[in-house]
Amino acid sequence: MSLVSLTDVGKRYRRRQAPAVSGLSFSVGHGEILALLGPSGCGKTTTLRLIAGFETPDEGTITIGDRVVADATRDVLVPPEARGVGVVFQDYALFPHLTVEENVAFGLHRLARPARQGRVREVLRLVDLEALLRRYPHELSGGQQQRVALARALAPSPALLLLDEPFSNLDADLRNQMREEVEHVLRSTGTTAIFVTHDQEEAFTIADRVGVLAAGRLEQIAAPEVVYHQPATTFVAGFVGAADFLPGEVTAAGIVTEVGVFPNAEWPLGQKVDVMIRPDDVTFVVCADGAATILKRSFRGSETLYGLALPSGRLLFSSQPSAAEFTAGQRVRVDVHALHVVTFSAS
Amino acid sequence: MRSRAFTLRLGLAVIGSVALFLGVAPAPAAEEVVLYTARHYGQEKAFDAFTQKTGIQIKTLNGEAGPLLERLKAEGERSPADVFFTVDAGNLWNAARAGVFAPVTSAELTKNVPAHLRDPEHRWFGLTMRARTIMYNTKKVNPADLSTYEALGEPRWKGRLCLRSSGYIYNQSLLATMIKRHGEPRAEQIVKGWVANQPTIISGDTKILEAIAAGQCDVGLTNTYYLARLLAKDPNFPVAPLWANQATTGTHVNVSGGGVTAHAKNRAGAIKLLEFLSTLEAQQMFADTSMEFPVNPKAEIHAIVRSWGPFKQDDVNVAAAGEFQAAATRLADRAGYK
Amino acid sequence: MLAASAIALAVAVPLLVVGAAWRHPAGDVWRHLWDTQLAGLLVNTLGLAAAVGVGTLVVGTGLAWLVVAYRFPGRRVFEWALVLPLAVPAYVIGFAFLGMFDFSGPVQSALRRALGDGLRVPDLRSGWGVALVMTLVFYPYVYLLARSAFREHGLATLETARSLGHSRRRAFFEIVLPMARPSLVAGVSLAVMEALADFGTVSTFGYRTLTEAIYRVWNGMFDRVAATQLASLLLLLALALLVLERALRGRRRFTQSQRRGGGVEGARLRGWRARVATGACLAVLGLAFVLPVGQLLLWAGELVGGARVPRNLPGLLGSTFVLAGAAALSICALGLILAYAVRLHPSPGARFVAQLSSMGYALPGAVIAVGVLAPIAWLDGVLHDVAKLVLGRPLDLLLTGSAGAVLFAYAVRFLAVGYQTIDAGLARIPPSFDEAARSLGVRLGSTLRRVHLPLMRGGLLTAAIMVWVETMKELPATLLLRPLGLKTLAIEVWELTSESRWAEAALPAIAIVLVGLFPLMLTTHLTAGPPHGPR
Repeated sequence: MSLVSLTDVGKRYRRRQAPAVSGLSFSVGHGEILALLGPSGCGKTTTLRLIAGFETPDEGTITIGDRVVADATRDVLVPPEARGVGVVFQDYALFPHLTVEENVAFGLHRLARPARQGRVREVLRLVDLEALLRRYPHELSGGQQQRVALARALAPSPALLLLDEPFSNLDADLRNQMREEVEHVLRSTGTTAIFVTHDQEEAFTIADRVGVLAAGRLEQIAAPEVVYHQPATTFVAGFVGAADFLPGEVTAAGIVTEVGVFPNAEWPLGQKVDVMIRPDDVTFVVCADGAATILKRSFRGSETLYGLALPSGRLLFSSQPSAAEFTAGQRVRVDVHALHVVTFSAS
Repeated sequence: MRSRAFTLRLGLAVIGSVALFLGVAPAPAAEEVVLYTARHYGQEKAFDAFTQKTGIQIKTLNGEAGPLLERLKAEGERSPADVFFTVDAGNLWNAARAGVFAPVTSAELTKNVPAHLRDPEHRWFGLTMRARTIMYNTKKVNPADLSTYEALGEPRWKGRLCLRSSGYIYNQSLLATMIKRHGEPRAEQIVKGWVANQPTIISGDTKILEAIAAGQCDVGLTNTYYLARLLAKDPNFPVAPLWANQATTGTHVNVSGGGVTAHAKNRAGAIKLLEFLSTLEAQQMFADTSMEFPVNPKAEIHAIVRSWGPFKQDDVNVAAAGEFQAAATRLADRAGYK
Repeated sequence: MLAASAIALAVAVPLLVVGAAWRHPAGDVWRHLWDTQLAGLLVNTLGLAAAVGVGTLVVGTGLAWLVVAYRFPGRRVFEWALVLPLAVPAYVIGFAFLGMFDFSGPVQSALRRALGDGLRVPDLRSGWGVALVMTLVFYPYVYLLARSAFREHGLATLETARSLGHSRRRAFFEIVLPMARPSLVAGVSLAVMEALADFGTVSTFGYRTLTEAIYRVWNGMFDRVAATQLASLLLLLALALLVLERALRGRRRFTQSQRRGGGVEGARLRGWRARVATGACLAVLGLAFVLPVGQLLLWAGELVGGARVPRNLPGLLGSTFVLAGAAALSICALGLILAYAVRLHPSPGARFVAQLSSMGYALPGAVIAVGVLAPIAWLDGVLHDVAKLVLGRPLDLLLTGSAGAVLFAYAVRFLAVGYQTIDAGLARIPPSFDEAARSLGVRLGSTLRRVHLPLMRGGLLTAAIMVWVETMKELPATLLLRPLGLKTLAIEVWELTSESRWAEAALPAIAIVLVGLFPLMLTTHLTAGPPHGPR
């Protein structure tokens, strides 16, 4: 039984303009964390706002729990305040005239005073901010503000929490730390969450499943590993990690490419396909009569990325441990060990 | 939270008191006459005397002539007004045309108010009279050079003339009577004569008199009571009136006055009030406080006003001011009189 | 939303009445106006609007920036004192100006004595004179709104801009000023609409505008229909100006998501700069407040011997207080509902309707008053008929000539003041605040109360005082629509001044200024320091 589900949801801001999202269908289970991933303008924030109730869908239905909160055909529309959905905003939207305590208590207006105070303390303990109860938002650091925003959204115990680019305002160090903290809080409270990001690493670390959006459509929704290793489209393949595509042809022996033959499971004989190859699938050995040449080398810290020129002139990337050192211009023999061979029909 | 509750209570208290304030309906006690008036000075004494004499209370609503007339019209037959007062015969004429007055037959009024200062159809009566005439600087102008309104267009007054704007009601009425007297072409010629002298346009009769005294200009046209009030404060004020057109049509006069409304609740009281105001007693009070001319010829004129001597009035019915007012306004625009 | 539409509709009714004047032909009046003066009137009116717009923008914004961004001798006093001219009725300032600088006034007289009779100075009774006086009278609108905008984000933005390598000057013109635009536009449009609607000052100065022509046609030709048609032209003009501004604004937005805390102090000015700053404030304050109030005091002084203090002064004060207070409360509430509704449903249509309903400000008061009279009297007629049917007896006039009618007219006239000010304040609150509150399960109404109201307290108070001061000075509508026996200070002053009895008018006029000062002081006190939270 899923907690949230969208069915064929579409939203268009202006007539005669491409829809912001269309044909969107997915669901999120209880306690699950879903990341909506995509480049800016792909419709991921719109999706979030549709679920929160800030936008009205033009098509489709949205269900939260067992209640239809928006149905374009039947004109059902539950206002945001009645959806029981918490939101953490990109700019946190902390009320500057209220203290941390008052901000967190804001959504607890239905509780009696003692219960309210108790809940505020409880939530603030969760995000480790009990000491800053009486501060105003502008007296807090970015990370602290983020935690207040999270605490405020969690305080009314929403069935669903939505986070809009929650870490984009933080510096790299803090971002990693906050990611962990937020995930910890979400897991420990069993909160169902959908968060929006354009950073695939962020999506992979926190989410149980990742939905990739492009131009208002859902390209794929699956566990991070599946999205990474078995992307449904070339767009997903390219967006969730570096990938090269080599042309190949299906023969009885398998799919033949210039770096080797891959097993074929689905294509008819003679079909032209593109084979996805990720840098971590590619190894090479230096070899004087190797068919490829090291074109460039970029140091990445824990790994080093090599750009290899194939005989056809195509570029293929390979990531190697930093310990090994090769130099540009060396001839190499390329070896590809793909665990999952991903192929797309060549267009 | 507490302050919020307080604000709420404060708000309720204010709303409550406003509601109370809105709902205050004066309980009718003694007999009363309700007066809508666009004339708002110099009559209180006479009203007090009326109340003392008759026991009838007077309730007034002051306002500007045009809007007040609109209110009277909008209220229609349920209007509380019994009497409508306004300054300027043109306004009275316009109110009569709008049908807000009911005719009154009263021997007292007919006797006390000269025929040319009241409506031929008995709908309104002039109660005070004002004369609009030529004013000059006694130190710079030989009064022998002055004679008529028309003569202010002579070249010798070029750059020496101060006028109020043509939008000013008393000027409009003056022009209107000129049209009545001379016909439109001649009247336009006269006004063009003034305009050719490049008059300084000043708002306010008192301001014109002060400008003449200060030497900004040498002659001007104003109502006489403004000068009387200035002279009462400063007997050496260097401005004197010259009675215009004495050899011809007479000096232009105008009135303030009123009539009984068509839907008066207390018509009898209203008539009583008008009659009282035309009596010697009330007329004397008008003359003394506002320094206008009484309409009742028997009442005595204020000493300062008397010192200017008697004069010949233009005895065309003042209703002409209304009849030709629109024409006068257009004429002024055409002649370039601002 | 429903409430907002109802308000907009109700307030627009008198405007529709004005528009409905076109049902009656008045062609010959138009032909006459066309032949003689219409072009000149339009030029005069637009010229005045432009001059007052630029004048109030420069003076109001300049002074506001001065007191917010700099420290110089007297700044603390000027900060609130510069609002004072708002409490002085325009015609009082105009009259004091003429009294002082006219040919027969003391200044020119003294100059003539010193320099000889040949002296000719430019006549104050001209377009420039009117524009000058109106700028002095109306700049506080811009000043008030600009000051609160600058206080909210000015200095922090300035720091940001300077950190990006902008000079103080460039930062002001390129960042701070554009960010304050909604507030500045609101202030300037109030000033311009006032200028368009003004009759007192233009007639005192003998400057002919559309409004002056409206009165001329009404009183001179006894043609109210044509006068009302002229008034609708004024309405159109004001509308065109607003539409133009919106168009120029384009799709830019002026909210700011991150607020910086207050506490940034202005830069200290030294030497001649400090003297110039103090001098500028003194000059404006002297001309727009000290001079007219001094003149009033002089006049009042003449009375001391005669001791003719109006007996009814306490009553006048009371009714003025109650009317102005009720107007301030109700109009701010209406403005808030309207502005909030537009915020919730920000369609161009909604915004247009809201703007339209605040156009009454550009109309002369007497035209509004008559426009209010018609629907009120009609409603009274309906009530009458209903009463007859239900109660079996006729009813006295319930609404016509009631304080309710007066308040309604105030709403029609001054909703612009409340709406524009509140809208400008609301525009500075980021929309994510609304969404945050709603996602926390808080309804629209509570969100307004718990988030918007506290955040825009300053703007709301500003709106309330402006309405307060406006209604306190208001004359034509009060005069025409009031109940029998209700009299305000403004009416008392008018009755006396219309008879040139300035000496007696001085005391009630001073009372108006004092009644106006009261809320001005109150706001300054309330918005001075942040009792809690950043501001």
